[in-house]
Amino acid sequence: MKAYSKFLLALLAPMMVSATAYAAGVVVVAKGSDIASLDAETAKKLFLGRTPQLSGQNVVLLFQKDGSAREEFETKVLQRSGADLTAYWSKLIFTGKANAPVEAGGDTDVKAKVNSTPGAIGYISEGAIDGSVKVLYKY
Amino acid sequence: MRKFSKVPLLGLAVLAIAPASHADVAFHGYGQIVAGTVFSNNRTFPTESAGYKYHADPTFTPNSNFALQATAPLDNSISATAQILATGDNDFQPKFQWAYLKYQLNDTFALKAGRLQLPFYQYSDFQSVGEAYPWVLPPEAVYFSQAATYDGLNLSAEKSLGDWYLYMQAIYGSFDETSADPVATASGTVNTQVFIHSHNLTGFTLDGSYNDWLSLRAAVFAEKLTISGDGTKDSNGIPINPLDQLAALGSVLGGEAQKQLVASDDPNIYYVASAQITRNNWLLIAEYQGLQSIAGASGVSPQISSEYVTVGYHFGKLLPLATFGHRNQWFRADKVKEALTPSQAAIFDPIVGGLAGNPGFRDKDYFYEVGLRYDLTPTVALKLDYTFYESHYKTSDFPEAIQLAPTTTNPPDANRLLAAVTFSF
Repeated sequence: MKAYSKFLLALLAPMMVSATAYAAGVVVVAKGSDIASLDAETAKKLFLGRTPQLSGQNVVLLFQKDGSAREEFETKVLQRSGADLTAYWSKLIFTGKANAPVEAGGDTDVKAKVNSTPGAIGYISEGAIDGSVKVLYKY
Repeated sequence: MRKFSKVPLLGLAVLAIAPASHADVAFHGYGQIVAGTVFSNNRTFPTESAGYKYHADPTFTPNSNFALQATAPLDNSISATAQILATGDNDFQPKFQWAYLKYQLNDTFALKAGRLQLPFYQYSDFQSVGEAYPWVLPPEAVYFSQAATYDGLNLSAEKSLGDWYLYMQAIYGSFDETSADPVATASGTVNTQVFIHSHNLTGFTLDGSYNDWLSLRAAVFAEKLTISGDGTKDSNGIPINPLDQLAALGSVLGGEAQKQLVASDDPNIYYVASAQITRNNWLLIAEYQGLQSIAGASGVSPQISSEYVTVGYHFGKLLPLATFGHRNQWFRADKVKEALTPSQAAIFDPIVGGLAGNPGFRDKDYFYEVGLRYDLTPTVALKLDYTFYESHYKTSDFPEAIQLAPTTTNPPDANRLLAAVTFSF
């Protein structure tokens, strides 16, 4: 039975990865934020450090430390990832052109931080949406 | 240098008192370990950016560095940033690279004040951050001097216009810089230094990025430049650095001759243009710089024209690169000579030769470079560069000069291998 379970898991694993790979994500802010929505271009500019303020408030960008939500976001929204994205942000941080993003541990941490940090904006998996956040853009 | 010490102290003080909670202070850092060796008959590789420190014996020192940056928000729109950089060139003594206050006026304009890094060239203001560019060192045809910091102001503006993202900077300030200037003498090489003082430094830069694959940049800077040697003398009391020799001669001759022999408040203009294309795994980078003295300058201010082109192709995490660089550097010996009587010129000629033969005033240098970058992780990269340096310095190219015999500081050619690991956090 054990061997069968392993076999089943081996069969299912690619489907599970596949399901993860195509999961949708959303850009979120605190529930009470007065920002209404974002389009794809503005979301990209924001997380590439090219929009320092929204509604007169300095933005604090939340990047998830790692995981599928981050991969999804980088692939679909930023179209940059890995060393390329690190090099890009190194240039901005160490020349003072943009404020460094803040690292978040995962969906739960992003939801907590957007509510505790003025100007914070982050991204989470669609499945993690709850009443504590306002969705600005779905990708 | 004393007047500058106040700026970092101000930065530190602001960082110390500003945040109510240490959690508000963001720390980031970067570093690199660079090993290098020269393969050409025990010669020194002729670039000031490495402090002339690469020899046949492999060394890890000249371009290795480690930096820590702290940024503290003071309120919604004002932040304080300090960056401490320790370089092998400076025996890893920590030094303030940055110490400034930033005021975000709105979503377009930001004003920075304090100690800032000069955005002369495309990579100048992050020249020490190896993680952020493909080579071990930015091409030395253009990036041949140490990255300079200045004390002053930087007003920046950013704007998206359709598919273009524009970033503009206006700067004002001054800087002091010391660079190594080894001089070949009959009794061997003497390590002298050149002091550079730039003030009334004013500059404008415009960067444009089109759909993230094409970047164009243009910049212009104007300054008042003073250059002098460190006053080192030989056992006979004769100045060793050619700049000191010229100054000594100028003080004897006086008048117009002295004005032409000493670079004091020389008005200079720099022009810089660059382009970068990143598309379909291809990478193309090209950059040009020109430095010209304008009316009123002495004849010993350097005139420079240099450029490079890099082509690379991304094979996943591996990026092979090839670079060609060229630099013309000279000074207006004709202006100096015009100011002299024939008998004075007879005295002056050997000194012109000595100055022209100095690596800092060479004529026509070529750099052929192949390299590799491998991204081990998103924050750690391994790099290799092999550079063949070729000097086309000839008396026929520069009639006023006297050809010096090849020495460790006057190498006709040199090959150099650099290996590096870079990281950021």
